[in-house]
Amino acid sequence: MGVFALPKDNVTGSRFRVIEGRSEKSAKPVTFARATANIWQNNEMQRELDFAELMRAANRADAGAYRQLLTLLAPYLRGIARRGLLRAGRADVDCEDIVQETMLAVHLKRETWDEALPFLPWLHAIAHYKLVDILRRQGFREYVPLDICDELPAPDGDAEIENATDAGELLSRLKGRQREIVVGMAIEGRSAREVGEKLGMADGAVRVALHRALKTLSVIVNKGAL
Amino acid sequence: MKTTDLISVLVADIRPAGAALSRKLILTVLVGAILAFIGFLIELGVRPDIGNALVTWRFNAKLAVVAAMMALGLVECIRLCRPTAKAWGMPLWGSAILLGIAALTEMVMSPSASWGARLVGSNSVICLTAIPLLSIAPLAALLYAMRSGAPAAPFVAGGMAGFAAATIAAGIYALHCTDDSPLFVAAWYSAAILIVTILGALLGRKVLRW
Repeated sequence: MGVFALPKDNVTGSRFRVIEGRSEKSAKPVTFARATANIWQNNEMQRELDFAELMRAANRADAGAYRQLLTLLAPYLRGIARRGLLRAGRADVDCEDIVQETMLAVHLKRETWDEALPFLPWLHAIAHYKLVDILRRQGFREYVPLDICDELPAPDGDAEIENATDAGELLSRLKGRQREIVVGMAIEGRSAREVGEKLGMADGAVRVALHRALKTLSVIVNKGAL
Repeated sequence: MKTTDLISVLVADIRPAGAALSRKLILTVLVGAILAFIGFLIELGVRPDIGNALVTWRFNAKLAVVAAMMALGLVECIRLCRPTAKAWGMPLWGSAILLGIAALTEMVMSPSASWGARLVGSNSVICLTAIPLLSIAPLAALLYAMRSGAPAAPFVAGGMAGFAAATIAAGIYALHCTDDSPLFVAAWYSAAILIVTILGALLGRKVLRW
């Protein structure tokens, strides 16, 4: 395992204290690089197991697990996006757009993850594709692809969930009835039936329309309407 | 919209995961292949001496090589639907090796004076038009199916769709074509397949983005 150049906020964060605790117990002198590598591996392994389990549950339509997964993914993806933007020298691009588009892709392309295979490489591949895609749409063509296995850990940004009052503008691009359905069901928290009564549609039709709206969203985004 | 709102939207749209991608892809391609075969029966038809041809090694080798290329192409298409898949163009190298072996066998088994005639054959123009035309339905089917995938490189994935579709077309066309020499197959079939591969790649860059 190589030496990692940890992002600054990690060095002063909780990781550092854990590393010190370990080095006391250990008989051999633990180098900083080796210790961070170990911690990194343990964290990533745990994350892999957690995410994969939640995703498997989500594939069986377990809404609670799915919400938990997406909530955990948000800060993780924010880390990936921010790091990618830094490497590309494009801190001006809004990282929340990448997070949201990646989440949408995770949702719509769920079936391309094989439950027998690790989850994180799949997630990284999707995030990387979206990152490059957004940069290209905004006129950036010199991006050097990263090897997805060499990714550094995402910073644990618990605080970032609250801070993300963010400027992602994904939903604002839907129009008309699709927008009403999405806003009604998801943001105002109505059920499919309530939205259906308001719009004069059967609740099955509302569900179908919601799914279509999400697909439309990814198409609109792809056309580079940014 | 806040990311937490997006999460609510996505959770509201939860549903059990659908059938495996590979199954969808195979079924869709089957429809495309059947359409191409119907078109083939109407326009070209099976060669009249098919009974005799089936006992010659050249005809069987032609079908075997094309079938192997088709298998390589379809497996690659299924594989490339996953965003984690890296593309090495394996079907192209694999096909080149198979065709090379077949061509070498032919060169060993036939007098060198006949190589030229075997290479040029009698149907090269029909071959170059029929294979791309027969590929249209399978290519449309494959691209449609692969749109529910998430290929990391749409250009390459489209190329592989073109390749697989062209080998399906070549397999069908082989039943009509009377040029059975591996030299002819290596030259003209591959040229036709290459055309569709490039076309597929160009289309893929447009339609396989996600």
